[in-house]
Amino acid sequence: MRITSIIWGIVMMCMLVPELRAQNQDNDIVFSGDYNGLTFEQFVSKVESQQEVHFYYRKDWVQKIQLDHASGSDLSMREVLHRAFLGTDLRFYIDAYRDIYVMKGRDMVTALPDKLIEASGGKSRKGGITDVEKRYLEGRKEKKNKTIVFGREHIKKPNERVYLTGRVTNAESGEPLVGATFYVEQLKDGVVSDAQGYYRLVVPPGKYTLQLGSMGMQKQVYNLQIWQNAHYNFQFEKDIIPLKEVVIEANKFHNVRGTQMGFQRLDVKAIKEIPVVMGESDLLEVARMLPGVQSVGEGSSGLNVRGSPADQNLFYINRVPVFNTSHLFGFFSAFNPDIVRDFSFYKSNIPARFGGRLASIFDISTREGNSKKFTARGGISPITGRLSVEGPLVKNKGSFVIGGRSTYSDWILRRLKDPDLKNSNAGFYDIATNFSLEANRNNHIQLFGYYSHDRFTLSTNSHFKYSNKGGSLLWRHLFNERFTGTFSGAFGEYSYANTEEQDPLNAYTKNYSIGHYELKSDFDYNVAPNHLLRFGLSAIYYDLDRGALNPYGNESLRYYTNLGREYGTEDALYLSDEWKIGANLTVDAGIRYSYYAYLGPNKVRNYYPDAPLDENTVVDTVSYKSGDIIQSYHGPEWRLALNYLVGQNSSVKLSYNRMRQYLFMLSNTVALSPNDQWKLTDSHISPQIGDQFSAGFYRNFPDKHLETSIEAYYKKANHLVEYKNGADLIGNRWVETDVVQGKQDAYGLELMLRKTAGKLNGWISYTYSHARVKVDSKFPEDQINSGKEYPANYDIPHSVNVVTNYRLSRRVSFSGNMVYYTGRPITYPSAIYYIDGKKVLNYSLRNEYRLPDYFRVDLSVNIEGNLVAKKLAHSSWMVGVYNLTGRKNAYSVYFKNVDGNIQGYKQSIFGVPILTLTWNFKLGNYASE
Amino acid sequence: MRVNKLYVLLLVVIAVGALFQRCVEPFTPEIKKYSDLLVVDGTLTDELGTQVITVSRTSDYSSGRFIPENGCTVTVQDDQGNIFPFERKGRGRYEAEFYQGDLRYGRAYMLRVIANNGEVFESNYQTLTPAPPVDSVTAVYEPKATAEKPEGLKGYQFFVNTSDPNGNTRYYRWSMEETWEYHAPFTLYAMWDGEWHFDFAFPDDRSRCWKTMDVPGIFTATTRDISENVLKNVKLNYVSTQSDRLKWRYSLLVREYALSAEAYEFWNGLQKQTQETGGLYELQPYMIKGNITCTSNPGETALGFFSASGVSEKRVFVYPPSDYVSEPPCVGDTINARNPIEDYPESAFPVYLYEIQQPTGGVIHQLAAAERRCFDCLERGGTNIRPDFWVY
Repeated sequence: MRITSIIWGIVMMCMLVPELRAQNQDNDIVFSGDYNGLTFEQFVSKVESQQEVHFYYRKDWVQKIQLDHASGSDLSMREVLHRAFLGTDLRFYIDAYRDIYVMKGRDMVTALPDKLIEASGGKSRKGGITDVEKRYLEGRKEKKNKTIVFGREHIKKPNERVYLTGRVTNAESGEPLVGATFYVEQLKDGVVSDAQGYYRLVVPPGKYTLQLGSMGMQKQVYNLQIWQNAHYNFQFEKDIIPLKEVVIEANKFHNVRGTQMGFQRLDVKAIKEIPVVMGESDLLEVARMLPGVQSVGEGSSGLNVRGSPADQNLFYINRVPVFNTSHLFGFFSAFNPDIVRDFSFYKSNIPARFGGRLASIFDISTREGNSKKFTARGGISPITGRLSVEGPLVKNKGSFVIGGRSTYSDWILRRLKDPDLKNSNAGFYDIATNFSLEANRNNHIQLFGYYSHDRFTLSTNSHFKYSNKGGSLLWRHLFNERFTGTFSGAFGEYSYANTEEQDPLNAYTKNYSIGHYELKSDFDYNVAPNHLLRFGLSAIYYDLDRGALNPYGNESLRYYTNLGREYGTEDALYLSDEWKIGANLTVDAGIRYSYYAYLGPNKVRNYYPDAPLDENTVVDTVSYKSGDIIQSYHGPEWRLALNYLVGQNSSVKLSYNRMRQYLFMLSNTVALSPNDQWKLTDSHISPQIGDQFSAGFYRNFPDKHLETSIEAYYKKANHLVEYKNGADLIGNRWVETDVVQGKQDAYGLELMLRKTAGKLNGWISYTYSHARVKVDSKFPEDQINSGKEYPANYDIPHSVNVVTNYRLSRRVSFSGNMVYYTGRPITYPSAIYYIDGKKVLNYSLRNEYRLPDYFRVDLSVNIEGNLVAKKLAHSSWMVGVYNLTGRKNAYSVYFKNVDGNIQGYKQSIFGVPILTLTWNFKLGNYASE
Repeated sequence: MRVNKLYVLLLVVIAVGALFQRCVEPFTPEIKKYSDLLVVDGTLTDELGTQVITVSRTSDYSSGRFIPENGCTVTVQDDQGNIFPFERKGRGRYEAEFYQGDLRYGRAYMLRVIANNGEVFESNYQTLTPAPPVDSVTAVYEPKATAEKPEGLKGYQFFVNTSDPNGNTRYYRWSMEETWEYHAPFTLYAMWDGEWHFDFAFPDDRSRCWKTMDVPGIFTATTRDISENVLKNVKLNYVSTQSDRLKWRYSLLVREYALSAEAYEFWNGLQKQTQETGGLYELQPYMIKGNITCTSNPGETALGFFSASGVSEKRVFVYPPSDYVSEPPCVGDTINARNPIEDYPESAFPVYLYEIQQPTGGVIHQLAAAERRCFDCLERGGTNIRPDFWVY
């Protein structure tokens, strides 16, 4: 086995050309043992004695080589050899038959790309080819499977299972890939990588075909031979020929196979391709295009998920809770698209690890930054400019990304005709940064910080400022192949200040803040191959300052009113088991137990029993000391999900879950307004408790890249917080006197057809839904709508969304949206009458009528810069038209006394098509990450 | 490349111009149902003489008519047991005379209405409190623009200033009565009704009139949230140059009412609901229930409020602004050979004519016909008797 053998080997190879050309250098051998300190020859003989491997090399080449860092249970031959040959001019090649060839000077070219030979007249260009060119050329070849082997083949015992764990990353940037799919053909089963790119596959030892897929990445197929527990990191190459397979490729079988219902994960690519009004891609705008998600008007903050009020959604960005998710009256979301990697959205069965809100969880993850090189990207749209920079902290192991965004909107507002807006000014900025470090294969650390700030002035005498800030530290630890733990600490604070100076005598300024401080640990443990236990605990501390009304200006005579501070804790413990029963049935059953305490110091009023809560029924006021538990609430939250596979591509899912919510938004307007305040549940206002039942049928047509689903839900909630008619919440210290609690009742049906790949992709969704609220009491002043049930503001019976993306060429793509929904409910006057000779309106039943239906079409064209491989920066233009048909969609209808007569008016925000132009850039070429 | 850049700039400008351009247009919703309810409206003031209670019914949104309820029995009762019966005056009005001693501050009054269907409606007791004098009413000439009229208006914005150091009330309401002088632009020269009447004259002077109207809109304010009982520059009505109110002279009478907290909630609620701006940050509308309940049938709802309020008054005058004030156009139809007076149909009789003034000032004997209102100011509903307060 010396030099002659090499020649023999090359001859053999030539004979096997058709087979060999298909191989590339990705073959690897996984083995175990301690080889530290051995010479290369000793290493070879030891390995050859233990493994079925053959080395071919020249002795004089390897004399000085000594092995180190070569011990462990699942060593990669590629890694060991790569390290051993570092600093030498030796190269190696592993073929599919476990032969290892050691060469001097140059790579062994086993499969020359045909094109290259042609293009350069048969000889290689000096300096070789760039990575991009190489991938481009390789991308054109038909690929065959790579083989990876873990451990030695043996006869497996019945019920024996092995674990393959590891992380999936983007080969170019080193960023983790979320939702990458691992599908084992022979078992018709698979898993998906988690939010940090980690995966865990449990299979009986054996030989398999493993298919790997990830959004926008090249598909990979491996011949997997696994005989022992192993750890392996997969890398994905970006799919640089996006003509065939574009975006939204993830969750292909997840849709059918996972127990999760009402779940969407969209990555930023999908987000960025949807045309939006201000020329900047917006995560919440995309969320609104999903079935079951509504908002009460365009450009209004707050989402209504499956017939629920906007305060029932919880937004986490890298575990930091965000209380106000909108910028600039809701036209922008608080999340910079250049920083966001993806978001997961749960609206049906919310996993047991989440809690705290009844309707939905938005779990937003930021990008981790490029761990291989420094790069930057940014963009300019009519309203905003943004820039982000990223790069390695420790090469290949740690990275950072920092991104910021700011507006220059004041000059726009000043050019408007509308008198209210003309005298206004508004602006915002936000900044986010993420550091991530993969200390070693068992420990991954991530540090995240976030700050956003908004200010606006309406008609020169009403000023608002608000900001979100937050930070989180996350440590993920692999205890072993079967057991992972994630530990995090996070805080999120929201505060605002509002100054009203319209009437100098009444002028005041008011501040408000809420802090959410959370410690959390989550574990998942494959206790048995078909049981995945997830458990953990979390503790939240709320510190809420309702603020004070302070007189503003020299003339102000306004009373100083302190609305008080409040404190609370919310602790939870959860356990769930994902249990695969047989080949077709998976059950995910869990319980979350939450305990909430409303803490002192505070003053609490007592009221007479059986009387409405108002000034006249107060018995006394009790003071509590710091740390006293004023009131506590606790209870179980059941989570159950069931998935039954019908054939390979269809499934039926059922789920039930219960949620408890311990804080709510004080708001009695139709849309969320910036001075709405969050408030803790207290002695008089009970926590909201909601139940939801869902059932769905899912069917995929993999050959056509189609996913279809139909989901139905029913949900009801108690103690929904509403306000007494005409309540003024700004200066009320005793909220309970203005609040009433009612019942919420919603059901609906959601259909979705989604094309996940191809030149034309996107989705069509239709939602039928029904949302009702009932606030009844034995005291007439505590009733709304005379105690009768009424449609919620966000009751939208019919809604159709079409999102499409058509890629004409690699440089030009078109996107289009179509949105239709029934107009939202509105209260119209039921009569006119005269008081003191003046015409006034009588309103009777709330939300009895509807606004005219809403319809909108948007279109955008994205034009990429040239595809030259070697260039400093790549840029693209996006031209978008929002509301192409110029339809004057009603935002609201209102009535006003004009010169003694009542006149109705219809208001629309965008009555004309709106053209926007955005320029985006990034360092590197078209394909860089 | 240069062309491209220009084009890009153009695109951005278009985009920016269109952004945020809210558009508001009149809209008549289709309202199918209407709730027919009794409306009781009355303020017992501290003024001696005739006091009025109005009883009516609600009407549907599209007609907006005033529907009087005429056959009711209306009485006011004080906390001493004195009963003041009101007389039916038609058009939903019920009147009673109050004399010295009937109305005392600190005394509480309640209203009882027996409706046509026999149901009995009662208010709660309302205490009569004196209103402080109005400190001043000011007028500021300033432009105003609203979402409905983004092009903007010019005119006078009126403000009221008041204070009540005695602290009798912290809740205020104002109602206004406006009076303005206006002129008929043409002097009558002749009348034609098939034949000429050169000696025709109106029985009195119809060139100058005064018109008085209630100012629409509800105006309330409170000093509840501030440490002194002072209100400054509370916005009242706005009078624009788009009507002829400001053409000659304009007067505003402001009546200030001292309210109870409960009455304030009622009036302030009505004020908010008739001054919506259409934003989604506005409160949801709701039925504003007053203090009238049906004692004979608790299921029956009535709207309106009975309050007992002291009243004070203040009158101000404003003179025409320097800007042009429009007035109803008067256009003459020149009578000549091609347009002989004989061609006027009988239905147009009587035809009033004036002598056309030449720009040079000279008179040539050229007649033109115009509508009667251009000669007779009474036609527009005013009076040609100068009001007592109209002093120069």
